[in-house]
Amino acid sequence: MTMRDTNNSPTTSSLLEKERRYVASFLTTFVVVTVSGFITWILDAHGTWQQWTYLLHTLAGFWLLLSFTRFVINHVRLSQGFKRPGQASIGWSSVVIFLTVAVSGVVIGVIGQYETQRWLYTLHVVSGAVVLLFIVVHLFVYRKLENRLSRQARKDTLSGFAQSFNRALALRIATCSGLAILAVALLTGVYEARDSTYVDAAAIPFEKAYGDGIFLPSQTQTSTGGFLDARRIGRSEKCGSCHQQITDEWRSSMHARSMSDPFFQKNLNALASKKGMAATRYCGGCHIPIGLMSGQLSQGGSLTQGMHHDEGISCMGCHGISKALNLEGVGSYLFEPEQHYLFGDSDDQILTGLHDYLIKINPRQHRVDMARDILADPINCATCHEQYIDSELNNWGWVKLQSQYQSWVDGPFSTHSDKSYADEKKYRCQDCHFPLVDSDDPSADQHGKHRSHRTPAANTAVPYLLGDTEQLDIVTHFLQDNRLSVTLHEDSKPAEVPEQKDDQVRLLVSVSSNRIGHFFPEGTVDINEPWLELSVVDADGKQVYASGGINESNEVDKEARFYFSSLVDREGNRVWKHDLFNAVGESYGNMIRPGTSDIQSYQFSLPDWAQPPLKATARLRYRKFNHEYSSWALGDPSIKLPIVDMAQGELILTR
Amino acid sequence: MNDSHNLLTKEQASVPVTGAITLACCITGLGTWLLGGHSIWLQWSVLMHLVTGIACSLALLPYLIIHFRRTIGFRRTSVLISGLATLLLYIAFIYSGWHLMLAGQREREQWILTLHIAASIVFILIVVVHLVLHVRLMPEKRKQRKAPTFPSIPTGAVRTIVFVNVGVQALIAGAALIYPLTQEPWQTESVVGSYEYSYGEHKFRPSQTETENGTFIDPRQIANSHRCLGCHEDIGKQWRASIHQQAALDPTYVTNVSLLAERKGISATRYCEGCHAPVALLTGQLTPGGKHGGIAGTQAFHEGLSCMSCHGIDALTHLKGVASYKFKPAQDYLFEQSTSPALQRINAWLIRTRPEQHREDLGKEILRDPKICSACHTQFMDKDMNNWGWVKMQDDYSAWLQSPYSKQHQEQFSNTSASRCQDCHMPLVSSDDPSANGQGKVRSHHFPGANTFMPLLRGDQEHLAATRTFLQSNKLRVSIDKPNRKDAVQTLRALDEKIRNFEEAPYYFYVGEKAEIHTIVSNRGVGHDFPGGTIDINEAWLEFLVMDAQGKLVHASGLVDASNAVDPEAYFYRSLPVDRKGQLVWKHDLFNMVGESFRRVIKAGESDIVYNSFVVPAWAKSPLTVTATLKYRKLNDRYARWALKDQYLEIPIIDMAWDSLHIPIKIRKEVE
Repeated sequence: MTMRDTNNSPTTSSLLEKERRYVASFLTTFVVVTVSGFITWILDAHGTWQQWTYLLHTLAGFWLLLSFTRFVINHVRLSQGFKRPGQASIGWSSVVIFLTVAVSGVVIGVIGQYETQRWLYTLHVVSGAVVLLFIVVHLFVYRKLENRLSRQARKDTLSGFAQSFNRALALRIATCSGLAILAVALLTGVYEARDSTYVDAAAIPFEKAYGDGIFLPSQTQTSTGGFLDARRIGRSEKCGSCHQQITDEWRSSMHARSMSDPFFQKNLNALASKKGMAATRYCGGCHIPIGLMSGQLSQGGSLTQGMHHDEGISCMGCHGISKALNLEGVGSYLFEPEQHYLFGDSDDQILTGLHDYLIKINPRQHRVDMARDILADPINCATCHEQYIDSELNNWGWVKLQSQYQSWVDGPFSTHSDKSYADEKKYRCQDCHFPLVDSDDPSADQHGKHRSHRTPAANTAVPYLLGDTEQLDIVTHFLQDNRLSVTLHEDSKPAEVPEQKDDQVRLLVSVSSNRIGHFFPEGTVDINEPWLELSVVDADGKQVYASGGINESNEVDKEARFYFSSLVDREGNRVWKHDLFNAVGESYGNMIRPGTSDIQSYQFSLPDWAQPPLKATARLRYRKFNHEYSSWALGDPSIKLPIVDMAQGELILTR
Repeated sequence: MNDSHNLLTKEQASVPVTGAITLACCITGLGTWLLGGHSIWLQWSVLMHLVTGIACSLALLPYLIIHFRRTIGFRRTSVLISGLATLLLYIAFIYSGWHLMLAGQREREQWILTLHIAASIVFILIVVVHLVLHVRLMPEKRKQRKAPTFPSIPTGAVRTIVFVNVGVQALIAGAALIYPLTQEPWQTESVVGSYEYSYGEHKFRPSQTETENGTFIDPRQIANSHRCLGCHEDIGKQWRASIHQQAALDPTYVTNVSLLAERKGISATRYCEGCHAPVALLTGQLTPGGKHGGIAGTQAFHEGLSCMSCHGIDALTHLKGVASYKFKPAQDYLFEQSTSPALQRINAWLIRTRPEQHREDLGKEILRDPKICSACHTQFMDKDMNNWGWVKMQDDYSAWLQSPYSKQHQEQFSNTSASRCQDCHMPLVSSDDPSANGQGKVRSHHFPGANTFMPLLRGDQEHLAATRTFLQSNKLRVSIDKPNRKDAVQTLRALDEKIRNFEEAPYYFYVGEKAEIHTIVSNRGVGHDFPGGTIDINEAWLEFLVMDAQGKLVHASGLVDASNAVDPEAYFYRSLPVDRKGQLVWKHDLFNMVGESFRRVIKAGESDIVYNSFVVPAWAKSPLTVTATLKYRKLNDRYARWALKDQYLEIPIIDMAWDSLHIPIKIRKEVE
């Protein structure tokens, strides 16, 4: 039995000639790719040389695919005449496994690692190891089989192939590997020697004002203890190059508008002109994180333009938080910039593209830095949605202001309260304000969802003023989503004298907070305007009683039942401009705790013309903001901010 | 040449059998896939596909190895590659085939069937390509030798292959023709024999039940729930703990249905049994001589609401309830009636492997629709039962329709997504059941609700705890309204006039004064009225306690006395039905009921305000602690003692929600 099919093709010698050339190129690239792949996999850390090695691995990997294909086609044509079923099986298996490595590698190299496709990376690594094993076995078996042949037969069949494994090839492999190592070392050296373009110092001369802390009265700290380059915190558009949908949502959110919000601008400028630029640092930790941490908030800084103005709470504004320093708020977070991916500090388009590509092909460190556990924790929200003001700013003392986090902790949704009466499942801030939406984002979960960064809540004023109807609709719907319920009751209190003739109608209206995780209302409760409107008509539709109407000048009936907090200054005057540095306490705080109800009672006399039955309708209406404040803040009393009906109830009176 | 000659001989020897089996496997497989449906012929084809599939997987591997060894070394790359591809596809369809055979088609592993079909079809195509390439790329030398084109196919092989396949198909056809002759038709007469038509011509009146052909149903087609548990063990366990399973054996039901049978005859129990013991109603037990579901030991007693009682519902006759459903038995799989364990296993295997018809019959759309619940959770009674007229009773379905959860409401104030009955009472739970969805979840068949006495009676602590949690998890809320005083002087500091309107007054009571407190009970998480169901015998009330600083009771309402009865003056949420003489109907003997003398419930999403007043005694130490607790007991004590008889036990009282408030006491000064 011969080793070859009888119809020996005349091209065998040329195939052998090619094989010799191809195998050299294939094996060299294979060694470089395998070694670079395994080294970065085993020495798994995030450093400069590792990233250059990744790049080398990716580029060489693409080259390997070409060189392997060329080699394999030729190798099959050459070796298919051998009657060696075992060797053929190993060879063909290697081809199939190599294709697995190649396909997974190409997918990662072209579209990157998606959150849902982590298995692809595992497949790439595992099949890479297996294909190495198979090729080694394939070569080993080949040697064994060759040794069994007579010298003549060996010469006859595979001389060319065997000869291609010689010292020259070994030398070539060693040289190329050495060159690869040298290239990585060189690139690493050059990159390390290059100056970072980040300037971690105050953007404008720092004005010392509130003690030693550079960010006080905000409670913010940075991991370096000093100022940071604004570009470390801002440049959110860079995130959008991969996370387009999320960035678009964020652009519509109040978070992105925390600084450019016209109402905030009015109050901020009022503060700056009253108490000086340094006082704006009180607002800065939450409203102007870029400006605060880059040292913009000193004499001469701008409050009306720049990155810190345009981006508000940028992506990094939340994603850079590594720790909540305390739960009392006023920006009480520790900011820690992310680990460096190559050229992260560059403004150059090509280098930025390279930086993005490095994240895409190996997002491990990006994931660690950007998806810190604290982002899924309500305490992250507490750093800004808790607020107080102290004597340094109000010359008075510690005054507690907003407290969303605390009221959530106390409520039934945190499951921190009496277990048996809590909700079955814990609802975090994120579950309502970052609802899951359909997504094709790289970070989408296995159900194809990500958390919406529109952060729907109660602000209808800003989207209305900016003409962002999509955000306005979402916020309106959010407010109406079975949050509160209104029920009307005839007074259940028994009459003192049952037979007494009485023309007085007594109505009770209960307002229950069903699906609000914190107080209703919350946030800037001094300037928000929720109120109860009651209207009673008789059978002919004639108005019998009304409370909570709106007049032509857009003001709500002063006698209406409001849900808000009224702040007072030290002279007992109302603080109505949200100038919190004047507030020392509140004279009225009518807010509904989560899961509880409130009763408002109404009494009116029944006119003799009224036709029974009477129909009473109560609506809980919400306006962000109250007319007095918005007229002052916008300087235009004619602007009609939207009013949202959050709940309504009806009752047909029996008399 | 000996070696290759040997291989060729071996290959030639295996070709006729391997070819015949493989072709039979392909034909039965393609046939069942292309034709679909659920005919007897098709099911026999599936069985034949199983047999030929096992044979094919065993026969094809040695053949492929021999063929590979024989032909390796031929210098025809495309023939080689197409051959190797068939090997990979062979692995794919054999793996998926064996998986389907052993584990059946599981809901979340549908890709396995897809893989099996796709791999098989591609396999057939590639084999054809392989053969065509072989012929087209025949080397010149071989053509000149005039050697046979397919040397491994011996003469006569094709004939064998064709004969075997004709035989296989004849076998299937024969089995399909003979099988029906061996099967007895399902019983469509009453199991008792003679049947009394006491409520008009309709078999099932006063129940509103219908069956597909208007006939009685064979017990095996509605009971036999244990056979479902053979595959759906997890769901079966849940159902066993549920009140649905205990619908007939519930001792209170036994008492009431026995009373009815005694008073009005067994035929009258048809009114109850459509929902409580459909097995008895639909098989024609409810006639003199038969046994109703409340009789221990009967099939209907143990099955309660069997699996098929819900899964066999095909449509609703109307939404007014009293078992207003139309029952349609599932289509038969082969050997459905067999009592032989082996044949029953074949029957179960067919269902597992080809569950399309099973899914269609038992996973009907209507099961996902809240309407299906209305068939039994809506109730009325008419003249035929009460000699009076139409009386409306429970109606959880309409209450849900009016609630914000149904989304059949003013759109903007509804929930974002509709919450159906199933979403609360059949929550998704983790399970490895074959019907589990992509996330490994099934709808719980525990049916958590408000019944605490049945699990207690059966010693099922787990279900009792689950029911308690269900009742307490944010379903209702109690809040005590602060009795802020208009006449209070809060501060002596001068205030801006504009603020005076919005001044929050403090709250306190003076000694000797009449204190008035409003408590709000709001229904925030119940999708229907609170309470729902049998509100004439359920007991929900607000306990209102006022104690002074030393713990002395100042005022109390809704306490439970030593004999386990609730303060009759308590603020109850219930209905008090009355008979035509104005007497209270307290035994749930609804055929006596003509109306209600009292009804207080809280609609879904609404609130109730409870007024309490008391005089602050002189001895009371400040502050007062006011506590309001919403209590729930299934059942009220009077009814429980009567209905449970010697099984009477202290039914737990569940605190569903509570609130408390400290109120200072002051002594009124002459001049403030």
